[in-house]
Amino acid sequence: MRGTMSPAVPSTVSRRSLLTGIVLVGALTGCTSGGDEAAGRAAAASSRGLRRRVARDSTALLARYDATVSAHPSLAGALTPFREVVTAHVTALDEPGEATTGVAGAAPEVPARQDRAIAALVEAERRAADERLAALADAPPELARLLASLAAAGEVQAHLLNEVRP
Amino acid sequence: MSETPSQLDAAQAALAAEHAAVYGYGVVGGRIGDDRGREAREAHDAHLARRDALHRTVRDLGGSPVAAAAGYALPFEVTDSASAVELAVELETRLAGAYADLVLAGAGDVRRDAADALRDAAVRAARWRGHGEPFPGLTEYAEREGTG
Repeated sequence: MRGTMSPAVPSTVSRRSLLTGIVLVGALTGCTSGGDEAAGRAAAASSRGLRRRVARDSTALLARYDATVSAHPSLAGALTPFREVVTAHVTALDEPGEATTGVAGAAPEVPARQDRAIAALVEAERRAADERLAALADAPPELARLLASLAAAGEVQAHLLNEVRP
Repeated sequence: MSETPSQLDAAQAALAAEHAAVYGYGVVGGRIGDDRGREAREAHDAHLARRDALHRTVRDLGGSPVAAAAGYALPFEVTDSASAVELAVELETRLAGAYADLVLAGAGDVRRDAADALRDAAVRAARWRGHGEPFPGLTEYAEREGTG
């Protein structure tokens, strides 16, 4: 069913090269709309900065899932699909030569009660989604499309997490 | 993806997808069964509101809003509650793609509204389906994610 409505992506195209293409498109758009080379470079740099920030936020979210599972091993099964979504985001945002996997700062604190630990995940997902929506206005088109999708995925995570019962 | 549609073209495509969703939820509502009937009616109403909002957007962009088709070919036969749910997922998935394209093509409020609509479509799709997906609206990722 899905196959009939999705444009074919050649299997030889790796996700990473696909994403590199997206970054390039973003940079080029910045150049042509400004019509000024310096402005174009500045736009490309700010686009890269935004993308790195988004990658860091996803990595921090992943760390929160890991810390939650460490503190509450009985939640591991229920949280697996959520963790997989965030892992896919981290992988998609990862760029060669960019160290986005290291999270600065201490591991997130996880509430001792399971319901509160889940509520903290909901809040973290919502906060990241809101920040991504707020960043839309300044993002080049392809990055905006990705940000909107990540924000939508985050909102879905928050909704579905509310249904996880410890 | 190969070329960026104009803001107006993308808004018209999203409007056409909302017309299809309004029609499709009529079919869903007829087959869904009592337990999820309310959910289907709420989705139907939400799509009527989005359709009307896109009407205004297309006008504001200087276009003449596309009309609904007289009928739509369903992607598969809807005979029971399970296939009704499957159609609802399909409708929301298509809308998510149309709104992602409108985020790409749109500026300012058009882009932001499209992102909100993408979020709503993704949440509804996930509720129907019972699980989420990492990249709602981005079909190039859906292809790669497969069913796992």
